[in-house]
Amino acid sequence: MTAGRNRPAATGTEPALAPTELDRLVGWLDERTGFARLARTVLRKVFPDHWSFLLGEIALFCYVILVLTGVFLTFFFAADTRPVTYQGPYPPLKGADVSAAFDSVMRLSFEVRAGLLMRQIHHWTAVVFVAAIVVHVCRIFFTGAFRRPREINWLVGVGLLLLALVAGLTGYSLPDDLLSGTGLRITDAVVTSIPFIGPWLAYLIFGGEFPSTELIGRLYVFHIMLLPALMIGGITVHLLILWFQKHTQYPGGEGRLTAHETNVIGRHFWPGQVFRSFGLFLLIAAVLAVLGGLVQINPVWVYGPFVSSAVSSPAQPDWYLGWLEGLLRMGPNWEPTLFGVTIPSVFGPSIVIPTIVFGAFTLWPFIEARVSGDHNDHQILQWPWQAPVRLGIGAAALTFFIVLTLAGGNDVLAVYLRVRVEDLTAAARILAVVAPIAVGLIAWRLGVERARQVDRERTPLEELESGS
Amino acid sequence: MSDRRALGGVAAVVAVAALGWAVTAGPLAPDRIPVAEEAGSDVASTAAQVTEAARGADLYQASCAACHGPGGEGTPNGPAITASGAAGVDFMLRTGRMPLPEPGQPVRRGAPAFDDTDIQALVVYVASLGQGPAIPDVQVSAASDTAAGRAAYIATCAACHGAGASGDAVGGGAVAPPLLDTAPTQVGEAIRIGPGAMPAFDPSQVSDARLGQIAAYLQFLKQRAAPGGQTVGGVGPVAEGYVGWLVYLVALLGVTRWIERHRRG
Repeated sequence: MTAGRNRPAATGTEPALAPTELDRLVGWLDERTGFARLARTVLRKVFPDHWSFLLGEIALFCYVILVLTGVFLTFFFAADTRPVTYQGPYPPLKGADVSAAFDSVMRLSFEVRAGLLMRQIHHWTAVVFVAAIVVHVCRIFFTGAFRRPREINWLVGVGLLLLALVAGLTGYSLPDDLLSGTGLRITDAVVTSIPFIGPWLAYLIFGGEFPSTELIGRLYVFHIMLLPALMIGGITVHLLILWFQKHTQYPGGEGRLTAHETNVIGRHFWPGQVFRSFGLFLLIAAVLAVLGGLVQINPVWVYGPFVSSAVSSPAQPDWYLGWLEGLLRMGPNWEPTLFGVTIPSVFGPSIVIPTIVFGAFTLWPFIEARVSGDHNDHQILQWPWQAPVRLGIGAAALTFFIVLTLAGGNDVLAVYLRVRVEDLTAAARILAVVAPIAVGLIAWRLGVERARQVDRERTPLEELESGS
Repeated sequence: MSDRRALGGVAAVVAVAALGWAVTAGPLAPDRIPVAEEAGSDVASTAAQVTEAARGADLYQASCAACHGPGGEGTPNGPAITASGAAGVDFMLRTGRMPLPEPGQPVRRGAPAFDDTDIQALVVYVASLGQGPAIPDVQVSAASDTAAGRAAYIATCAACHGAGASGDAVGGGAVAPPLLDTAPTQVGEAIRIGPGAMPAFDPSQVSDARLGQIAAYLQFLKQRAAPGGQTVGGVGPVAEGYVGWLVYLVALLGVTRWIERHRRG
């Protein structure tokens, strides 16, 4: 394909290819902006082919769907805690005192055309979005894609994950229903538990004592303005860095092409990557629309409006905060006194441990480089078994989170397993320590075995190529 | 006419025979048969009541007395039930919680072990063993105030049974069961007697009219097609998280793998 202004005049018997209106417009624009050169570079950019490189795209497309459905929801949502009387069509709430926010969500769900569908697509997409990010992070982690020179993009990605978690919490709390109100009460307790500054900080965040009339409005500003803006900025930086650093690729190659630190083997951005990505977007949107249309999520009419004197059970956050819930449920009832200040039992499990875990996760590229002494640039990925220690640590961390998440739903599990909740809590305390160690050791061992096996099977030619 | 007389005769014979058998065969004291002294002019009715009481006593001795004692006074294997009242017995039997397969087994809802006649007989008999709450009159109709029922349910019941009546574990191995399949009368009975770990609520706390409203709200939750599609267990975000992950792992990773393979092919 060439730009319109360079098209040669038709000759002979060939059908004339007269410049179209579009050609003329593109040519006109190019003469004034010179964008064709940039466009050619962009369109000819090569992206390596591997399905695991699309994991991040799934998250990206979920984000797009969240923005699209979220904009629709803002047309009808009222971020207002003023009390009103529910007069809508749902009989069991008729005449109930609810907040204007809850009332607007009820209207969205029962009176606005496609309102409930949009709500459910939005909420399901949020649930899937974080799952997509987690799997994407796992791919990055286990293949060593975060190694120099990509440490900055790792940090940007961790920031995006954190923003997604906060966006989730602020989002599902907006309807001002009984379930999410319970979550906000826990959030309030967690913030208040910070020694010395906790109560002041909680007042600052909540705009007074919980439940304050300020809160829904503040959550709304965070959820629809601040967090999306930060996330769009973060995603842009994330992709620009990826663009300029070039994408990593797996060792090996394709056909007669061998992957090196200095080449990129794959498909051009145009048309290969663009069409594939657009197709993927449409398929993901279709799956999530079907999910939102057929499966119920967050039935706020069942929970009803938040009433500070009531509570429902089981009461859990959405899954991605379940590990924090698990930590709180497992946390021992210790309240030591330091420097004359009682440290609430909530503080350790909800602030200290998450900070340590998330801190280590954030700084992982630097920790690994320091420990391994590997400060070289890497464009070629590793298969997970090529770094058995990292494999073991990653598997242990995942196991830790899974145990915590299960512990966060211990009452639901207790019913299904027909055991005492207290026994599950005790088991989780042990498993949270033992299971990660066991799984980590097994994963490390398997990685070592696999590496040895591959080493034995290497042909002399491969040894020559790898420079050993 | 002759048919009815014949029926009455047969009933009387059966009643007398049953009474005689019960008094001679079982440790059934005559003062525990409340209807025997009140014999009126209607032979068939009296006979039926006598039969019922005798039958109840018989069933009690066969299925309940081993744990609850011959007079309902309790044994090391089971609590006293002299104060259970008609509500307590009716609730336990109609929800299949009693009799237990073996002493010490957890008390769980199941299919009733007795048919309607036997349950009525047992209720009359055990209620006569002491003083206890009567079976409440739980009225549910299309005109029931589900809004009042919902408010009372959320304030009184939802903390353990869940806003969606899906049930939940409440600690110590006790489970607040799901309520959507519970009949209105049993909802009312449970509120009055407080089975298991549940507290009891007397009419000054939850009126008889309120029982009907709560039961009506539960029926509304069950019968109304869930807006928004298929529910996922009614247990909220835990189940939603599993569904989200399942959809991600199967559908989204599936289309991703498919689109990648399709392009290569």
